[in-house]
Amino acid sequence: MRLVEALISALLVAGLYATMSYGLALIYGVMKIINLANAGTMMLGAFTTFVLWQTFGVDPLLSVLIVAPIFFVLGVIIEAAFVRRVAGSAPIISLLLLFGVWLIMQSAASLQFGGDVRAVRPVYVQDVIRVGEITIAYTRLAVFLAGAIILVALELFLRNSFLGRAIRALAQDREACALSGIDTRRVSMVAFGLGTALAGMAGCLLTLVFPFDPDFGRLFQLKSFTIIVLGGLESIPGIAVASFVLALAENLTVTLSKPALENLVSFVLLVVVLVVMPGGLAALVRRRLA
Amino acid sequence: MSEEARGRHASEEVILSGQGVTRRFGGLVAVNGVDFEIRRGEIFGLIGPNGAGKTTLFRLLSGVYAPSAGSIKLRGREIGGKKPHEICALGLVTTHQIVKPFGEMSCRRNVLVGVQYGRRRLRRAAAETEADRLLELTELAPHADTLGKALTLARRKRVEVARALATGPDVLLLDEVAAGLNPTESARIVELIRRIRDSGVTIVMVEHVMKAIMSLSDRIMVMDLGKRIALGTPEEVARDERVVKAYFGERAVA
Amino acid sequence: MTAVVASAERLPRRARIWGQVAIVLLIGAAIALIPVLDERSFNLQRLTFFLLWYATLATGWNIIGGYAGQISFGHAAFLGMGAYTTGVIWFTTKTDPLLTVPIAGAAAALYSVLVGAPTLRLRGPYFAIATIGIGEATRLLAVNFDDIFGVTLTHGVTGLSLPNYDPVIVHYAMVALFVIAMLVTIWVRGSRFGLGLFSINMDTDAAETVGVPTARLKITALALSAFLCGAAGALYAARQQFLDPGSMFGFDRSIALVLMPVVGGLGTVWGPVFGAVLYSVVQDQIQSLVRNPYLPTLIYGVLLVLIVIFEPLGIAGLLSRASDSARSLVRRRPENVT
Repeated sequence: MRLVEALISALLVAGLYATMSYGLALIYGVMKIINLANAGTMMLGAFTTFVLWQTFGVDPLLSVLIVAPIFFVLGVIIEAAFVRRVAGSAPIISLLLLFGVWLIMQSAASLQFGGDVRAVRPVYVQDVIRVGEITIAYTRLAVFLAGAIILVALELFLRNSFLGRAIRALAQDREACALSGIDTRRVSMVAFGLGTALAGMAGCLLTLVFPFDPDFGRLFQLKSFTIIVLGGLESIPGIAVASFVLALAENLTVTLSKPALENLVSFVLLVVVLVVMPGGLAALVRRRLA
Repeated sequence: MSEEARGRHASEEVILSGQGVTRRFGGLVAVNGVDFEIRRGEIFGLIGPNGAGKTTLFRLLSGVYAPSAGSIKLRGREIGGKKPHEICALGLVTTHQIVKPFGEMSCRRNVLVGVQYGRRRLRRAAAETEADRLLELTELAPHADTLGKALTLARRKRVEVARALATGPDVLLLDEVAAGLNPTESARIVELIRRIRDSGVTIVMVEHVMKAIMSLSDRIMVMDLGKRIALGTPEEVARDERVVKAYFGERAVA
Repeated sequence: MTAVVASAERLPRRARIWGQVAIVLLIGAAIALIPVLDERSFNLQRLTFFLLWYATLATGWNIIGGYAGQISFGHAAFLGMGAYTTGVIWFTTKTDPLLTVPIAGAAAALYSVLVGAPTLRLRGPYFAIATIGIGEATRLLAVNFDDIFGVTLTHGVTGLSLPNYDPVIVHYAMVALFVIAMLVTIWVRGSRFGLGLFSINMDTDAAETVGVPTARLKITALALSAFLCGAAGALYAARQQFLDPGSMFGFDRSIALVLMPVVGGLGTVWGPVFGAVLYSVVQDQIQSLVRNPYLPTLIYGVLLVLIVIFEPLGIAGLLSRASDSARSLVRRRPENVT
């Protein structure tokens, strides 16, 4: 029974992990840069939700709808003001730039909110759903469903809209896109906006499950990166599976070993993936089939 | 180039050979059981329609990919699956289709990397003299101090060639060096390739500029859909029915 | 690298290198004289110790980050590894900490090879992100070490209190280590090894095809870099006589190690030193000037963004530009006069 509960709990956390990681993968796919500010964006999303809840009593699940457009605009601004200026430079340049943006986000939030650990606790935070002998926290289920809806909506957008298809095309072959008249600059801007919005929304959802402070980003950055490396960049199913694998590994570590080691899991997993199966799960599956 | 000149350069010694060279990517077979023998001192052309597997074959030769099956031998020594820098040390070096000069280094330092790493260690002064000689050979001497990123495409291509030559190769792979050049620049690079061959380096080249490859090559191998479909002198290959079919489709033949 | 390489290449190589060595020796001699001239100059000794300490760390980071272009966000791991190696040996066996400086460096280098081997094999940003993990994992390991292995070595979060030690001797040792680090970086900059690292920095694939053993060079550069940082960590232990995971392995340390070389001038010999001077002076003054602990990070973040966008060569780039325009003024003058 504990195993089943661990599986379910991992699955539910995976919804949040997938949401936060997909933004990273989307931006990487289109622009071939790692958005080091991703975790900072999540943190800002969490604090925005915190403020909305504290001052206006907005439910975190509802604030997703408010945060999404705000953070889309934030992403577009970051892209246009900073990232675009270093397009075409060595990858380390964009990495350092976004590292700087991350530091700014983190210290700005610290200046505003101090270093205390915060949590958002609406009335239903203690509620559980019982299925037979298994209990599921209501918040975790809600966060999972919200994450799933966000990702499905995104997938529909990417598949069916012109802009979405342009984003996917750009991720596959930038040069061909430029030649065929797609405005790569505009598409990059939208992709960065979407990626930022996803991180912001993940930040909203996170408030229901984890406590947070301005400094919590590093670990989530590492988790996201482990997930996209494991899942293979640019693939929603791959990222979903990888999110589940990471969440499960963390869960089992806590259950079977020391809780303090939970945060080592993502790093160990990352190294294992890099060494044993570069290319991630997708490449592994392909090799099996071939 | 006269027949006499060809005879003088190409020897009977096989320098680079492949047997059943195969590379699969998942379900796709990019290079499928290709055999070839390249003789010391010749210019060996590699042509084929898009997606024929030329670039993949090049990457197998230079060590970017490992072959899924088959063997590749350089001077009788197996090189399939070795790393690019190891293959380079054994005497086979490649230029890139999309040129990659070191952007923030001067031309001289670009070439110096090849001199310092591609061959047995030279003293600093000797290495610099060698780099200058190569810049002279590739007509880049006036631009020795220009940064890689500030060069024109034609010059970047010549830096790429000079840097590869700097490693002191027996075999030089040229991946579309004439692509994107105007006729004058293209003629100059053809001239350069001849000079390099005359200095004793075996050349294997992929090229889409037909004029360049037909006039330069001693022998040409034609690939289509990963397989070798013809091998012979430019004249023989140009007459080959399968080659014409691969390039122009069935109807052109009928 | 553009401007600096261009201006440096104007001088003959040998003259340039000996000139730099002379400057390093002069700086070293001047700082070594401080306790000799004034025994009671405690504040100045402390300031210059940390100036050289930061300069050594930044110089070490620059070898892998600036020369080879493999950004590390987790270098505190190597610094801390060195500090704790010396600290633990000193604490348990009472060995003179200065004797174990090379061991501390070697331990850090060994550790860097262990964690770098899998992560450096891959191209692109993998290494940079993995280093965040290296830093974080190492910190957690340091905090929980005793707990996990059932021993009492690191003393976890309470920290390791060490015996007293004469700071003046550590001051001299710091000068020596700084001089060594600078000689190493000057040598690497002009050597075949350095040329290989720069070629990896520009384009790893192209470097590999012309015979550069990229994986081996990257590992060597990382080990060298970690050695210098580990040795610096050992001197920190001897000087401060107290180690705790937060201040040794903390992310703030790793951030500082990225900031100094980048702000000073990535991939240049003197950039890390400029960055270290700026950083150590700011750190020294900041507590008295601003009460808010988060403001400096905000300023560093803004500085980083501005530098990356407007002057990727940092302070060294600015100085080089200034000297270029000064030189062109001087050169133009005779023409104007005549």
